[in-house]
Parts: sequence; structure tokens; C-alpha cells
Amino acid sequence: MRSSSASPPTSPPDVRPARAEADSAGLDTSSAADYVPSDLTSVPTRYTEPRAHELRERYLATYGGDEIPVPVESIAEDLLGLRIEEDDLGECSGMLIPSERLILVNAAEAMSGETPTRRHRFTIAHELGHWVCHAKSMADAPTYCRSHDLAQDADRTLEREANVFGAELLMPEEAIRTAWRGKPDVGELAAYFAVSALAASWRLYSFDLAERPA
Amino acid sequence: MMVELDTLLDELARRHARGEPLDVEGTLARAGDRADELAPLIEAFLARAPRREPTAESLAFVRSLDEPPLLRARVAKSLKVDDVVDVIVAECELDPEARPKVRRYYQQLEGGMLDPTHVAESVWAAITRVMGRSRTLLSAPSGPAPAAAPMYRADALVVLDEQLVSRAAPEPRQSDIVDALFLGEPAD
Repeated sequence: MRSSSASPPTSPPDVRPARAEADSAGLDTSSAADYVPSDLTSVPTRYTEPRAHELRERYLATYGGDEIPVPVESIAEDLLGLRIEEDDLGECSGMLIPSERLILVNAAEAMSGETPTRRHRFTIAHELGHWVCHAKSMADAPTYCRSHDLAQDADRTLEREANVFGAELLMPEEAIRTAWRGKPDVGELAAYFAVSALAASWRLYSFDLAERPA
Repeated sequence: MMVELDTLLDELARRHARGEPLDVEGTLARAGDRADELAPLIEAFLARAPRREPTAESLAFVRSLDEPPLLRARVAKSLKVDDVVDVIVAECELDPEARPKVRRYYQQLEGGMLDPTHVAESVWAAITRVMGRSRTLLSAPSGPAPAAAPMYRADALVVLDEQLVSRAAPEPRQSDIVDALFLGEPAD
């Protein structure tokens, strides 16, 4: 039931079409890759989440190792004492159960090549954002993390914070800039950081290093 | 000779203004029999005094109290979960195939999800040896886990069904030696 800790994939992300029926219901259910950092477009380019950096630095100070790709699973399990398990979550990509210190990732997303590993990485990073930023102050009502929550005009501060946290955790600005100066290739950058190409593209865009992704 | 309450309160207020530790207990002790009179005065002062920002050290300390003691001890020794699990598997002479289950149980124990009194002595012996701390310290009760509601993340329209919500219900299982070590149940 544990999530995979395979090496970072290098294949391009799977992109699925949006669902018309969900659109008609007012939900943005854009592609699998879209969900990753698209909310960053709603965030000022210099918006930062220092807690993500603190967490990463705390991990490196405790355990050492390579900074990139960010060992997000180890941060969750070894540093924060959270469990990561795979489960059938239906339409959900991931789920945080704070009272059990448990992050669930959708097992179905681990079944089409290596790309889902990247999805899991961002899902875990996103849930870590909820854990670090919100877990101790949330209301009783469940928070549903749909793609709509991640859209540009989403008025879901918690989801946006979790996404920014995830992006900043996995793609530190300095490392992104350094890697981009070395070789300005989105695919290689994404592989190096073990994120989707679209995630890397949005990150580059947020630093004004590349055009806005289509 | 007993110090006047006004004097004690003035000293405390000056310490507060200087950003020094208040030593409320010490101040109350100096009030002797009149400690019960001084306590509400201190409370009233603190309620009205400007709030002091916590130092980074004090903030880190208070936040660390939220972490279960096993987790705190493990991270303090820069040990990963797998490091501890390796020791448990080796010292309890368990089959390597049992490792994933041991890992899951250890994480539950660390997170306060398992009753530490039901965990076998052999497991605790392995844990205390690798952590370098006593079982009393490691199994001390921690604060309650965050009571926040679950959060879900999805790409598409979510219909939250009962199966998903009730996933925490225990699954039927067949006990084995690992169950016995962590749950205190006899192995079949």
C-alpha cells in the first residue's frame, strides 16, 4: 500500500481532455497535468511560501542528501512523521487525514507508466502544504481539492496556498534559475526536478523566465 | 519579611518590559501566604500588557510539543523510518517479507495511533536501543493529533461516497507474529 519511491520519470506528462459535463456543472476539470500549478497564474510572481523553504532546509539539515529532486516522500514520512499510502480514491488524487497523520494517494494514478510518480510527488507536496499551513486550524467541514480549486480565478485560499507550497517545495527558485541558465529546456528541467513539464513551465512563467504555458 | 505585593508586581512588570523571563512561579513563591492574592493581579496585568512576540527558540519549542515523542526522538537522531524498521526486523528476527507490515505498524506507533502498552518488549528493546532513550520517554503521551477534517484532492467532479469516508474502518485480517508484536494479540 505504500507509494512508490521510484526514480524520477523522464516521460512527458499525460494530458487528458476536460470533462464537458463537469464544465456544465461549473467545475473546471482540466487535464491531469493542468492541475499542478495552474493556480500560480493567480499569484503575484513574487509570491513565496517561506514555510516550504524552511521545511526543505530543515530536512537537509537533518538528513543531508541531494537537494534536487526534493525528497518529498521522505520529508513527509521521515521528517514529519506522516504515513503515505496508496488507496482507491475514486476521482480524488490525494487526501490528507490529519487525525491519522496520513496522506493517501490515488493508486489508480500509479498505473500508467512513470508519469504518475510525478503526479504523486505534487499531490504529496500539496497535502504537505495543507499539513504545514492548515492542519491545525481548519474548520470541521471537509475541504475538497478539485481542479476548480486550482484554477486561476479560484477563490479557495487554502488550496491556492497548498499549491504554492507544493510548487515552492519541489521547485526552489534558485535551483530553477540555475538549472534554466545551464540548459533552458523545459523537458529536461521537469525531469531534473521530477515534476510534470507543465508544472515546470508554470514555475518558469512565474519567474518571468518563459512564456505563459498554453 | 514578606515582600509587598505591589513590589512583586512592579518587578514582574519591569521584567516584562525588558523582555526577560517572567518567573511567575518564583514571584508567587515570594508572596508566601498571599500568593492567592497576587495571582489574579498578575493575570490582570498580563491580560492588559502588550503581547510579547515569542522568540524563535520558544516558538520552536512550543511547536515541537505537537510532535509525538517517538518522532521527536527519531528526527533528533537523524534517523529515518527505515532505519528504525531495519533494527526492529533484525532484532526481533522477523522474516524480511514482514518488513512492510512492521513499517506500517511502526509509523502508527510513532504517530500515536497504536497503544504503546500493547507493543512487545522485544520491539521496545529495539526501539530504545536505536533511539538511545528510555521507553518511558518514548512512549509518553503526546498531545492530540490535529482534529482537522480530511481534505481531498481531485481533478474531476467528486462524489464523496460512503466507501471513501468510511475507509478508516478496520479491515478483517488474519493475525500473525507482527500483529502480536505490535497489538499484543496472540499469533495464530
